Amino acid sequence: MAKKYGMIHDENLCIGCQACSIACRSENDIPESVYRLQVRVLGPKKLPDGNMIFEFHRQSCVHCENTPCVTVCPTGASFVDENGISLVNTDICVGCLYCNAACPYDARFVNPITHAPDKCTFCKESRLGRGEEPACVSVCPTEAIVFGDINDPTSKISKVLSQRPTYHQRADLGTEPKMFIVPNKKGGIQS
Amino acid sequence: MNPIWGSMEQYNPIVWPWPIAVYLFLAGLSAGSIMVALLVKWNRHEGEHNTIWDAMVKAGAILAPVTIIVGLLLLIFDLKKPFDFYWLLISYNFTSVMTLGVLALFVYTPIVLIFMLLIFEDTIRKVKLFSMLIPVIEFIKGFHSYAKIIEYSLFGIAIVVGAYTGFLLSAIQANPMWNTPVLPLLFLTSGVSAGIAANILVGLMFFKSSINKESIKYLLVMDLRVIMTELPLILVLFVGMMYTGGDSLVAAKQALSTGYWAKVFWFGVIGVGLVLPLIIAFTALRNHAYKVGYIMINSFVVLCGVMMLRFYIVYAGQLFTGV
Amino acid sequence: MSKEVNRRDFLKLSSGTAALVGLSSIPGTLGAISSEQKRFNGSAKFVPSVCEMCTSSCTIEARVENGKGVFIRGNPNDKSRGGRVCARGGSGFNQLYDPMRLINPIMRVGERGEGKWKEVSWDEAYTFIAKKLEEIKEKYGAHTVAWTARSGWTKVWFHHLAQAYGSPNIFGHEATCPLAYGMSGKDIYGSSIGRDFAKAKYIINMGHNVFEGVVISYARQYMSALQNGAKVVTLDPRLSMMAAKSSEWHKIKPGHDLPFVLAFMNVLITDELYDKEFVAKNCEGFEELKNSVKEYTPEAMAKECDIDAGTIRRLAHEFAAAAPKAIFDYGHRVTLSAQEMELRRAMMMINALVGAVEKEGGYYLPKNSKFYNALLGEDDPKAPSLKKPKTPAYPKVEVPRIDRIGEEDCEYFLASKGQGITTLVPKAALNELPGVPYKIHGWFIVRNNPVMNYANLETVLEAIKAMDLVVAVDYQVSDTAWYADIVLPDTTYLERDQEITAGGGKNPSFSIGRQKVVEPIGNSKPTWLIAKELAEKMGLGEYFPWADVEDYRLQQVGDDIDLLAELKLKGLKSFGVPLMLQDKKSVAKFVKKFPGAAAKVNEEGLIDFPKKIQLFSHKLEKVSGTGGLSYNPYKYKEVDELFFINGKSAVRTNGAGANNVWLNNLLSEAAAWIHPNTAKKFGIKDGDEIEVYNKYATQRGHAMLTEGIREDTVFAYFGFGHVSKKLRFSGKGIHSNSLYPSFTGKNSGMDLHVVGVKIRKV
Repeated sequence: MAKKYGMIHDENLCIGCQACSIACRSENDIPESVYRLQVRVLGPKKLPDGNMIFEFHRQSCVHCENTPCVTVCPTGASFVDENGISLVNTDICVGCLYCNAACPYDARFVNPITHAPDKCTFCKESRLGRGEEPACVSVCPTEAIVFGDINDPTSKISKVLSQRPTYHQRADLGTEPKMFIVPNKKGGIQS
Repeated sequence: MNPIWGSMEQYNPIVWPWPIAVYLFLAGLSAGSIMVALLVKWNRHEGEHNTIWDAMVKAGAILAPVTIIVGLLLLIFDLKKPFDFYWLLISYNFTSVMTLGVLALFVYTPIVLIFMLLIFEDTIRKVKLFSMLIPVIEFIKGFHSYAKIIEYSLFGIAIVVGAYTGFLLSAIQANPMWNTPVLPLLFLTSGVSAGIAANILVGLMFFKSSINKESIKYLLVMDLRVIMTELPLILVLFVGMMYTGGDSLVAAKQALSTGYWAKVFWFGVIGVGLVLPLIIAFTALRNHAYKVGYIMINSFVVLCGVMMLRFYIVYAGQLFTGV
Repeated sequence: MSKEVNRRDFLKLSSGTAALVGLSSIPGTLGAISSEQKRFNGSAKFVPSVCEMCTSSCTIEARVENGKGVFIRGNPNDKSRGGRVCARGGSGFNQLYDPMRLINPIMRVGERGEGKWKEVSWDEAYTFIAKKLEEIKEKYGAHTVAWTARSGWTKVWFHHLAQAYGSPNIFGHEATCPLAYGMSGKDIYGSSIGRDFAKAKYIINMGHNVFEGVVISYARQYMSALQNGAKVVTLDPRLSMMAAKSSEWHKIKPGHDLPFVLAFMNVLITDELYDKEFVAKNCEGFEELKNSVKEYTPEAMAKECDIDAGTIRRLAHEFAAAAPKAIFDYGHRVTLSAQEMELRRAMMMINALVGAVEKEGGYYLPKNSKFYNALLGEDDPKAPSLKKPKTPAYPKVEVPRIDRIGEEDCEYFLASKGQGITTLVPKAALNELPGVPYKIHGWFIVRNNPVMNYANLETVLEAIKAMDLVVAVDYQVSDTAWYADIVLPDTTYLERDQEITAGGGKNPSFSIGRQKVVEPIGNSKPTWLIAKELAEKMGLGEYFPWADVEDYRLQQVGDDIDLLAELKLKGLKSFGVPLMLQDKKSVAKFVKKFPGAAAKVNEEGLIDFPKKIQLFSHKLEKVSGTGGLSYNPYKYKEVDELFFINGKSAVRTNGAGANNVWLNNLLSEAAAWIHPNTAKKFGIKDGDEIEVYNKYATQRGHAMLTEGIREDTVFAYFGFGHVSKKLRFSGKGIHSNSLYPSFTGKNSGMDLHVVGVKIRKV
């Protein structure tokens, strides 16, 4: 069976330290002015008991099952590979940015060097081939990110998914992202 | 919390800027012009010369190819990789509205060019500079028995092109203002409205034509009808968004009430584009003041309105997503 | 009001932060040498090393990636850090090829701080320094040159050189950061103290912000404690990341942690919540302690610290109930009150009172080879111990150090000589200090940044200007280098080998130190080589009897070549099994592994503390009458002023982060955190440009309105407002140390990072 790569971002474990963002940049040679990955720290939000929390939002491609970006791409430059990773073939991309406009997650940006849309690739080109986890996963100090094959019931990601409640950003759109979020326990579940 | 995650410039919500709005306007105008020209040709034109009707057909025949070509050039140069644009022609994705649009334009653009050649056959034969086009015309005329069918097809494809500019946006699920079936209809209608106005303007300005009161009255009434169709479509667009609730409701409220683009909507799209022409047309009709000036001003105002509608939908649709 | 930020606000907030400033043309920098090719000549396989982006020194490994860059991650062999690295650590590569990095020695040609430089050869540089040092030695004596070096390797080389030259005035950065808790540990427990956060069930945290300071092992341990259901109570005037993740956050009044701790202790004793048996068996001085904190009832202290008496009582009761799996975290950067010594001692004593020492989930004594081996029997294998290469004796010095450490009556006697009170250097350059019959005339500064990191910028600059010689060793023109006479280019840590280090957590451990991942760039030199070559120029070559670091390491391990080989391959090694003296299970495992240790186990199946825990300090009592604990109210600010405090961001260091483009693009200017109610009073809106000012300085920054701060307090991340004009992001944000007073804590020698300020809209 083909692999189906997914990722979990646990808001309880995330401390917003940006180690993931830097590792991504370092590993994938991302131009300095742009980001494949950012973790936004929002708040503080006041809880009913008077305590306050921050919320953590991982801003990156969520690797949808139903990919608006691939649907609209006029040349087939945006595609999903056999393992469920959403990618861009910059050779046949014309830079119409239809995919950028279609992405509900603001995951894509124009790479100032290739002039084509760029985005998180789960480190396919840099690390997966070497059998390594994506850079962000490998450095996260508090192990807030879990990556793996959802089709493999013995994988860590499958185990965590079966144990923890998760939600998707913009679930209403039916895009079925493979980025799962464990909501902040302290703040109550929201999407 | 201090924003410690770096620059947000790459998340500029305006992914498609002004050239796209202009392109959508020009493509709609092109489709509208040719449709109006064909309608006039079929209904009014036979045997009449130097009338406004004749001028409108000529105007449409020239406007349709010119606007679509300018629009396409604008589109290509707005690509981030303009020199790779040929991939649009050799690599297709049939789930993409843009691919379908490329195919439609692939058919549409040559046909409107041919239509132009045929309408201006006399002129071309007179001007030496265009003499190399004569064999082309002769060749096309060989198919004259299909002329009517080709005209009907052109009309059909023009509808497709006009609606396509709307479908292009409505395929984007993430933007509630775009993601509505009303948009293709609205764009098609306002394209026709622009087509009428542009054909009248260009016809009156460049093709010497006589115009009588009856024609003026007819044109004003036609304008009224199209505008009266557009208004409920805009209403349906926003009412639809509001009834969808959630992000759509928020987006609708923001788009109608927030900042610069709300002003563009109320003063530009509604005020200048729809109410002002209505006032001009009503005033003219009630006072039986059938002057050419009215109709010129009216047409110009309608064109401005249609342009602003495209700008508004393109910008507000991207800015106000309710998220 | 909750701080809603939408897409467009984001754009507004961050626009322009990614803008790059033009390349430097300062002589000696990488950017000045245009032909310098960016060749990545180094190891494609991961090389174990140690991070140097901040002082936490986490274990890392790094490799050259396809010749394009260097990828850094945590060393997976280090279980406590799990192969993880923070944003600062991950950006190490960015400083390697920074065009503003220094790769040739430069010498000042204008006034100090004027920024006029010429490039010189290493030989010219050494000759200049050696001559100047000789002049000072002849004129005032070698002791009038102070040597401040960064913790770890630079100390090894430069404190050695300093003493060979004849100066006793050797210092580290500690007095601006962690000194007081180390001193407290030494006084109470006889050593520093480890904290078993991961296993704790209850932690009181007073501003130890490990989720923004990001010491990887602490952050991981705290997080697993939280995941395992531990209760973490954070007392901090600001909603730090730690506070936001904690079970409870209490907005304690800045500078007033001590009254809280004393009241907490008072409850433990008055309500008899302390572990009587443990205290009786293992501690000394309980009665004196009891008497000294008698008056500090929660009711009396509540208004001082602004935590109500009921809460103090509740927390003390909860804490005692959770003991021994309870940690009263003594923090890290200890500059939060005027009585740092009392504060840190009080905190550390609380764990002893509840018997949570050398038990799982509590405090533990770090066990180095010496400690561990002392428990073993004759036939048990022993932990290796590192040898020090033999060098000639240092010349005798007849005068005291400026901090008088080593003298019988010295109030800072708990600090080691290698730590010292470095913040006294500027003061000793301006005036003769009491009991010190000389002034400081020269300052040799190795990878330390007094201009940025010492409280009260004005004093530091005045002192530097008064000196005869200021030498800086750094990889960039730091704020201090900016005022130096000569700057020697250090390599970055990715280009350098270092000596082996030994230490211990629950059992002894060893680290390779740092290993070279890429070849040194330009003419930069590792500090060991700079010290050795300078020593040779000064005629002190005999003090450096090693050819290179590899030779030094061989002398360290002696016959134990295997240890060196293993360390080079894996980066680290531990010996034996983890040991908690007061934990039966742990002791049993230890004895199983080392049967000879059975002799040390008592009838309860535990091992006694090597030394009684001191709840009263006779030495402190003798030197300055501070053997017990007492609270002396201190006036931090005027009535109409606000408290100003600072802290660490996860993407910045105080002294050295200003040139790192990756990090600066994440956060290039720290805003001043102001409560909305306070801001309203001053007519300040979110994002307004403001001035934060007091009698010491006026700093400019932007206001960030947030409910995550007390109404009477202004907070800013430190490490901003750099002074050196040859740092890429200089001048941006608030230089917090310029606002602080010139203060030296009693007994601790600590700086003070609480002060009064006013704010106004620009």
